[in-house]
Amino acid sequence: MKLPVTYVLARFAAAFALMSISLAAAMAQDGAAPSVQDRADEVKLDAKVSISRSSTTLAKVLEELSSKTGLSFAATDAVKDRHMTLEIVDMPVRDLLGVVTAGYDWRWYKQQPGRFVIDRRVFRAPSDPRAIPAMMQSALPVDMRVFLKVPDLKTKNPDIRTMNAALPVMDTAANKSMRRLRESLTSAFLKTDSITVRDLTDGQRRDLVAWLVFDRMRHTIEIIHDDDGPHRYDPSQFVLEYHDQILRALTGPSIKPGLGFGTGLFFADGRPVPVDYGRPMP
Amino acid sequence: MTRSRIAQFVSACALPIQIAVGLICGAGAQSQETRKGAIGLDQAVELHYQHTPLPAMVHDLSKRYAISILVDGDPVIPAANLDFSGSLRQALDRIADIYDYSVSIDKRALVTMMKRFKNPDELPQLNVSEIRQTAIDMLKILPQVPFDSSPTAFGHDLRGFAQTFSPDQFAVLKAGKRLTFADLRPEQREALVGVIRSRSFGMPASVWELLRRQLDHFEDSVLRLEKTGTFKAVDGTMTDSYAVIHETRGTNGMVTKSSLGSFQRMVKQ
Repeated sequence: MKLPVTYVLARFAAAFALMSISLAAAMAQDGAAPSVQDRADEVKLDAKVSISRSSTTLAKVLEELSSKTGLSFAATDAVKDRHMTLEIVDMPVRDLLGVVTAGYDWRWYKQQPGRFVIDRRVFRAPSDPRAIPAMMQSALPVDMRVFLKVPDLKTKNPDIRTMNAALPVMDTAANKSMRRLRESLTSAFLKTDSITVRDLTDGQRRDLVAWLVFDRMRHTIEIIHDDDGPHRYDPSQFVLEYHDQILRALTGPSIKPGLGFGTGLFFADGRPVPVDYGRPMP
Repeated sequence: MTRSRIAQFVSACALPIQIAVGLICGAGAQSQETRKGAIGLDQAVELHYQHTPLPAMVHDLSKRYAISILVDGDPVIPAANLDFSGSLRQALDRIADIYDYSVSIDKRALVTMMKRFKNPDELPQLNVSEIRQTAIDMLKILPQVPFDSSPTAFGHDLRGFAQTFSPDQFAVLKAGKRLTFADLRPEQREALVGVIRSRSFGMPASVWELLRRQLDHFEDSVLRLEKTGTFKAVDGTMTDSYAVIHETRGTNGMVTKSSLGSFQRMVKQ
């Protein structure tokens, strides 16, 4: 079998760099050698495991992984309930953690010797507001990204409003869930005025969550899809104009005419007259 | 160097050098493993399943062909029949298609099946703790702006901003000319930036803030009927009308209510 020259060279370069760094670190170090526990953890992470779990949760998969490896694996509250079927055949533990966390866009890390944790990524406010849509996409669970038809922002055509494809999906999910929940509670509400969520069936609880999530999602989807909207506008490029009796804020003289949003202001005798949205023009 | 320093030096070098040697020696092995995984998926298979759930099909494939598979969630379709002859890769695609999944294959030959949501009855998992954390993360990402629960609430700020125009600025606009950002006074620029930020992020932030509150202590939250009126029909029967309210109480005692619609109940006479 012939390997690509660049591939082999890259591996030699990586190995050389690693050896150089380790030698330099060893020369400079003062008793900072990896502990026996650290080395034992590394060996266990390289050991191969097989796992067969149907319709289970991440928490249960990690319980089994812990008992098979002698290491401790745990999931944070945010990810422990994720349902999955996992069939793993002779895979190094390190690779297993890598592929599972990569698949869900999570991370895994060593919390302390012998103990490893799987968690969501860490999010914080970006320094550049243009990064907000991509970060919001990343914050969504991976299945939600598919469900909401989020576009790849690297290739998205900014003139196409992709959120229009997601709106009916969200509305259908919200309406169906609410209707199903209300119907399923009819007999209970004939007897009582109040039901605690913990007393709901799994299906009812699921419908309630689906309704809570999707009922108002339409008001945040524009940014997640990074469709054209005020979040994309640079205030320093703004121009204001009086158009069709409405004072309009535009995104710039070189940008398409009419792009922007109205102020709800009309002129009367040279002064602006505020009017409420939805009311007839004065 | 003392003997203990030498021992410390050797000890510190051992693991990184082990990894480095592994990188060099493992170059071929890793590649072979990847190729083996790829070849394994191209092998011919013949499958016959009767009323078999997806997890059972996946388990069978993994055992018979030594492949690793991750399936996210459970499909809405409980079980299916399959008679198939072709490559293992085609078989995985066929099974995924039946259960509304898409297939991707990792370079380490892990087959991942994720829902594709062509079936309108399929929903994401919506685990409460995961969605709640998603809402918290969204609020970290979005700029902090005043809570805005209405799509038109920013209009109030816009009108306030426009009221600050001087007669000269109005004259420019009335003449059909444009005012640029540079034409505005510093306080007007600040007001305009505030309006744009409020218009852009106020509503989305309120959506995630509300969802975070709704899912706070979710198990202890209640669905409650709140009476909205009583109606009397021509035959004399009376019906009470209620709003169905989801009510949750946060750690700080704040109550959040959301209406799920209405419900009628006959009044016993």
